[in-house]
Amino acid sequence: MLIVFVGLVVGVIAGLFLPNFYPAQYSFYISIAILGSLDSIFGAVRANMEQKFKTAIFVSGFLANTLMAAGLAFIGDKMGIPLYYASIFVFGGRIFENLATIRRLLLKKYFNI
Amino acid sequence: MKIRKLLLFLLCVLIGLLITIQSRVITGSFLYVSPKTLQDYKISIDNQEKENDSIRTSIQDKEEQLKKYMESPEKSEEIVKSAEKELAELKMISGVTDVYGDGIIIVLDDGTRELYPGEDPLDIIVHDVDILKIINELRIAGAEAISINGQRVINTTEINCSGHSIRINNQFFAQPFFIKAIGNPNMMEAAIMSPGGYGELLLTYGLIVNVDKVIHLKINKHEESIEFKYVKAAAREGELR
Repeated sequence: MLIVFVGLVVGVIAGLFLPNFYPAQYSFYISIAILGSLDSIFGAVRANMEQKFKTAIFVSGFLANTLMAAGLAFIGDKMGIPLYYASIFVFGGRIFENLATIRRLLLKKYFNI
Repeated sequence: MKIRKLLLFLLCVLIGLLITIQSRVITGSFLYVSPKTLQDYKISIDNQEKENDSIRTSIQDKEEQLKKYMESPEKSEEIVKSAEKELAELKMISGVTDVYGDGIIIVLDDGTRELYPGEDPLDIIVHDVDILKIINELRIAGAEAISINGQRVINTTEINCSGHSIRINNQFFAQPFFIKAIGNPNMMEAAIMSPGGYGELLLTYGLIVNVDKVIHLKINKHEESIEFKYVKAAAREGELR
């Protein structure tokens, strides 16, 4: 768990000091990609608590989610359809679903409810 | 185990990086730009580019003209001729020359109907605003030269209420008003007298409005003196001092 926090801190510090490496017009796709990656993270935490975590699944899911979310938003923009709604609904819904499961697992573990 | 930790570390770095940079890039709210908005912007940009093109071509024209002047100092006759032509054009634009053409004459006069009990008599007299509106309608319909009671309407012409008379080009006029306009007679008549036109509105108030189409109408030149106190000509076109 420690490595996660260290990684996040390193990333945030690097982000504060690095110059932007993508133009501002792509920031929309990046935010959708962040949503996709957050979904992966929550999924990983949940799988970890259920002791079903597999690195290959996590990494591939992370990359696929991120790329697909950004790609969908991009294609939707090109076609004039707000396809990014699909990512927002699916990933947003799954994040809360995973959160609920994590909460239940934590409660069970520490309070035996 | 080691690979797993490394991957986790790298992905966490990536997420931290993306979120931070993202929050730095986005200042203010992010709006979804619809294709229609994009289309609108595209149209306005296209128009601007067209305008730029036309300005560029006019710059080219002027440069060629300048070159001609510079290259042929001995052909002074040609220069004088072209200058005279330009002078005639400018005179036409500024209204300091008599002009002819097909057009219309509008006669505007105070109404003669009896007032309703308690009605304001101002309702049926001609106001400065009426003349202004009619002149604007004429210009919308493509009038190229306008005069009111013989006073040519130019860029400095004022139309101002002064009691029961109206001041135009510093001269005072009372009813009736004869507005002459050169342009497409049918268009101008329609602009004034068609349902919804301003002339028709005045008629319903009880004023006298009469439009006649005239062939070969003459409109006098502007004869009052114009003094410029504040305006100075720039040394060159577009130059500011």
